[in-house]
Amino acid sequence: MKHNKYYVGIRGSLFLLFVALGLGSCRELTPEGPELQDIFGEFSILRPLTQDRTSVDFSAGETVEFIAELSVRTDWTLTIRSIETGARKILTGNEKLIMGDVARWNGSVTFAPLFSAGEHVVASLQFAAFPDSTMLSDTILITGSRPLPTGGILVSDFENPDQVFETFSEFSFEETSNGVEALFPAAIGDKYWYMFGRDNNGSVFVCGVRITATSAQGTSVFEFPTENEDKVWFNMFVFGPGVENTLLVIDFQEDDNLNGTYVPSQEGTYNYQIPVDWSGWRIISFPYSATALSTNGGLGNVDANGKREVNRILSLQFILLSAGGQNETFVGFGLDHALFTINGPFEP
Amino acid sequence: MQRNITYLILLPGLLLGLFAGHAHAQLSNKVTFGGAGRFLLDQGRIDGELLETDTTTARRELNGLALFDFGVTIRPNEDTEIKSVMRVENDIDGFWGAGITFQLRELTARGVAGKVVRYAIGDIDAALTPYTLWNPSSEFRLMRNPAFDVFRDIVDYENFYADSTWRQQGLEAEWKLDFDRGIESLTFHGLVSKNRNTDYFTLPDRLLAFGRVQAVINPAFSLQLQAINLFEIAESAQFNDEERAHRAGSILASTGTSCSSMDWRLDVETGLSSVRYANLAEAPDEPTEDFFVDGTARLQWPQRNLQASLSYRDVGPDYRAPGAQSRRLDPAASAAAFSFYTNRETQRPVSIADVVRDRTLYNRTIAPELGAFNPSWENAQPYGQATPNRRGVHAAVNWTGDSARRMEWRGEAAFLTEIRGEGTEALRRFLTVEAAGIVHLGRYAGWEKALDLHAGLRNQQTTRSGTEGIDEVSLGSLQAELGLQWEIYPRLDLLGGMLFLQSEGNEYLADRDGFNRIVFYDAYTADLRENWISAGLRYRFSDNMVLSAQYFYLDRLNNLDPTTAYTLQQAVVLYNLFF
Repeated sequence: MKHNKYYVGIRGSLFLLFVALGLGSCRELTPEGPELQDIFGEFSILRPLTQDRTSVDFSAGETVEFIAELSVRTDWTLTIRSIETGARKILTGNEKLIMGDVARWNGSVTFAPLFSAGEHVVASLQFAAFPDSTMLSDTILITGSRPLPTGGILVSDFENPDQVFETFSEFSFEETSNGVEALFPAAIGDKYWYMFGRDNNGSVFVCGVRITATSAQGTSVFEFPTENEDKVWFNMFVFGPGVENTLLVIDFQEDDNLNGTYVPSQEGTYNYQIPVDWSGWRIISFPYSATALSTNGGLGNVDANGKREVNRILSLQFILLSAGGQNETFVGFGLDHALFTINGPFEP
Repeated sequence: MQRNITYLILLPGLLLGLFAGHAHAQLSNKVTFGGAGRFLLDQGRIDGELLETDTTTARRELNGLALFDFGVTIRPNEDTEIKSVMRVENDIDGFWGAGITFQLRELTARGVAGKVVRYAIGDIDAALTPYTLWNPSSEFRLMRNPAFDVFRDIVDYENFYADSTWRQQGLEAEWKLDFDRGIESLTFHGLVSKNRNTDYFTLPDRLLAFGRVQAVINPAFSLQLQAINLFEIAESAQFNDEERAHRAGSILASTGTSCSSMDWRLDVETGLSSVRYANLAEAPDEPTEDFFVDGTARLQWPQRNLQASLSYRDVGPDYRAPGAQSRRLDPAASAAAFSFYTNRETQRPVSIADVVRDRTLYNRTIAPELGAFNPSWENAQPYGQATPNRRGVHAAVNWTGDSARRMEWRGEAAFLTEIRGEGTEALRRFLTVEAAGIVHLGRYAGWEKALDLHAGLRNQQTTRSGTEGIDEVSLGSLQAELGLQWEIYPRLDLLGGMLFLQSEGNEYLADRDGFNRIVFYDAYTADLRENWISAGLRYRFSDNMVLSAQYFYLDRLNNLDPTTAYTLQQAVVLYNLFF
C-alpha cells in the first residue's frame, strides 16, 4: 500500500514531464530578431537615394519620402539642407531599408531658420561607419512652408520685456554677457537670450539665468496634464557660435516639499547637459525622464523625495560652462523659444 | 488658534501614550520592538592611469550616513498583528539635521479571520515557484564571505530581498481544508497587489495577482497549481486605452520519501505563459505564448551529510513570467561612489566592488521588460532559472562535512543551450562550473576561537560555432572569492577577503523593444580584470550587532581601453545592528 503511494506520485510526475517534453517539439524555431548578417555583414548600397516628389507643399500637409536600400543595417544620417538659407533637417536611423516613416520629412527643422516657400533643398545620406559612401538626392522645391505648431507650455520666447529673468555669475570680472539680445537673427521672432563669457578662475562655471514657473506661467510650479516624465518634453532652440568647450546645463529645480521655494541643499535638481559644438540655431528636445540628479554637492544633489517629479518643477536654470576650465577663449550660446510639450517633441 | 493647534499636536500623542502605557501595563507581551540601525563612514580615493588624463574627476570622496529603522509590532488580540517600521536617515552631508528624511518603511496588518482565513494587508513578501513568482539571486553571490557579507546583508535588507520573495503592497489570503478521505488537504492562497501607480492621464495602474492551490494527495505525493497575472487597467488613466497582461501558470508535482539511509524526492513543474496587448499599435498581433518544464531529482544521505540533485530544464524562448524574470541588479545604473569619470564625465562602469556594496544598484520591483545584464558577470541564466530560451541539465552536490563539521563544500555544474537562435540558426552553449566551501581550521587545531577559510571558484563559458563567420561567440568569465575570519580575541575578528573577476571574449547583446522583441544587437567585447581585496577588524557585540573597520582596494583594468584603468581605495567604518 505504501509503495502504491510512491508509484502514484512517480507516475504523475513523469507523466507531466513527458507531456511537457513532447510539447517542446511543437515550437517554432525560426531565429529570433534581425539577422546578424544584416547588421555585421559587408556594407554595400543596393538602391541609391531617391525621393517620391520634386516639389512639396507642407502647408497642405504634404511630406517627402526618401528611399534607399543597403546590404546591412548601419547608423545613417539624412541631412536635408536649404540651398538658399542653410536651414537643415536631420533624420537618423539604422535601418537596412530606408523608407516610410523613418525617412519621411514633414517640413520641420533641426537647425534654424525655418524652411520657407520658394526654397530649394537637397538631401544627403551619410553613414557613420562608412564615411566615403555619401549619397545625394535630387533638388526639391518647397512651394508651401510648414505651419508653426501650436500648443505647448511656454517657458520663454524672450520677446516679452516684462518677463522676469534672474541672472547670476561667479565674478563680475569674468567678462560675461548675459541678457536678451538681437545681435543676429533669432530662431523664432526677434529676440533671444544670449550668454557669453570666459572662465577666468578655473571654476568651469561662467554664468547662468533662472526662469521660474511664476514668471513663465503665473503658477508656483509648472503645471502639466500628465505626471508621466516620459511624456513631458522640454524643447528649445540653442545657438552655437562654433567655439569649443561650450557646455549648456539645463537645471530643473523641484520644489519637493511644495512650499513655494527651492532650497538647493535639500531639494533636488535634475539636469541635462548639452555640449554646444555646432554653429547656428538648433532645436534640442528631450523627455524629462532623460534628466539626471545633479552631482553638485549642496546644489540640488539631495532630493528630499528621492525621485524625479515632473509636477514639482519650480524653476529652470540655463548655465554656461567652459568645459575646458580656465581658458583664453570665450564660450557662449543663444537660447530661444523654450517650451514644454506633451507626448512628443516640438517640431517647428 | 494657537491653543487649538497645540491640542491637535498633543491629542494624538496623548492617545498614543495612553495606548502605549496600556500596552506595557497589561499587554506587555503584545507589543514588541525590532528594527535596524547603521552608521557608515566611507572615505574613498581613486587613482591609477585614468587620472593621468582625467583632470575633472575628484580624487577623493567622503560619504556616510546614519539611519535607524524603528519597528513596532502590536498584537491587539491573539488573531491580529500590526507591524510598522519607521526610518530616520541622515546623510553625512546633511549638517545640523538638514539632510534628515523620515520614511514609513513598512506597514502590515495580518491575522486570522474567523479562525479560518489567514490574511495580510499592506507590505507583503511573496513568492511562488522559480518559474512563476521568484526573486532570483543576483550575481557575485558565490558563497558567504565574512569580509563582504555585512554589505550583502545590507543590500538585501534595504531592497527587501528575503528568501527569494518580492516585496509587494496589497492583500493576501490563505486558508486550508483538511479531508478524512481521498486527499489529505487543500490549501488555497491568493494575493492582489499594486505594481505601478497610475498618473491618472496616460499611464494606467498595473496590478499583480496570483492564486495557488496546493493538494496533498498523500504523504508521498502533492500537487500544486498556480496562476499569476501582471496586468494593467486601462480605465485608471483618463486618456489611455492601452492594456498589457502577462499571464503565467504552472503545475508542480512532488513525490518522495524518507528512510534511514537515504531520502529521495522528485519534483516536476511545467507551465505556460501568455502575453496579450490591447490597443497598442506596434504590439504583436498574436499573443506571445510558450511553456517550460523542469524535472528535478534530489537525493539525500542524512548520515553522511550529503545531498545531490540532477535537473533537466527547458524554458521556451517566448516564455514570459515577469514575476520570475525580473532582475535584482541593474548593471547600467550609476554607482554611488565616483559616479562619473574621464574628462567627458562619462558614467563609471559598475565594478564588482559596487555590486557588493552599493544598495542603489538594485531593483525592488517586478517589471514586464527583460532587464539589461552584463554577460561578463552572468550569461547563462541572467534571469534566474526562468531565463527564456534555455534547455539543459544542472547537477549539484552539497556536503556539510564530517561529524565534527570541520569543512563544508558544495559544487554545481550546468550545461545549457539555446532553443532558438538569436539572429542566426546557430545556438549558443553555456557551461557553468562552480564550487565553494569553508574549512574551519580552528576546529582542526582544536581551538575554541574560530579560524575559518572560505574559498569559491566559478567559471562560465559561452560559445557559438557560427555558421556565417560573424555569428561566432566565445566568452569566458572566471570569478574567484576568498575569505578569512580569525577570532583573535573573544568577539574580535580579523577579516580578509578577495573577489576576482576576469572576462575575455566576444558576445552579441540583444536590444529589445517594449514588447521584449529583439530589434538590434550590440557587439560586445570583453578583456577585463577586476581584483578587489579587503582587510580589517570586526567586533561582534552580538550576532546581530557589529562594528567593523575595513580597508578595500579595487584594481580595475579594461584592456580594451587601458587609459581608464584605475584603482579605488576605500576605508570604511561600519556600525550595523539588526534587532
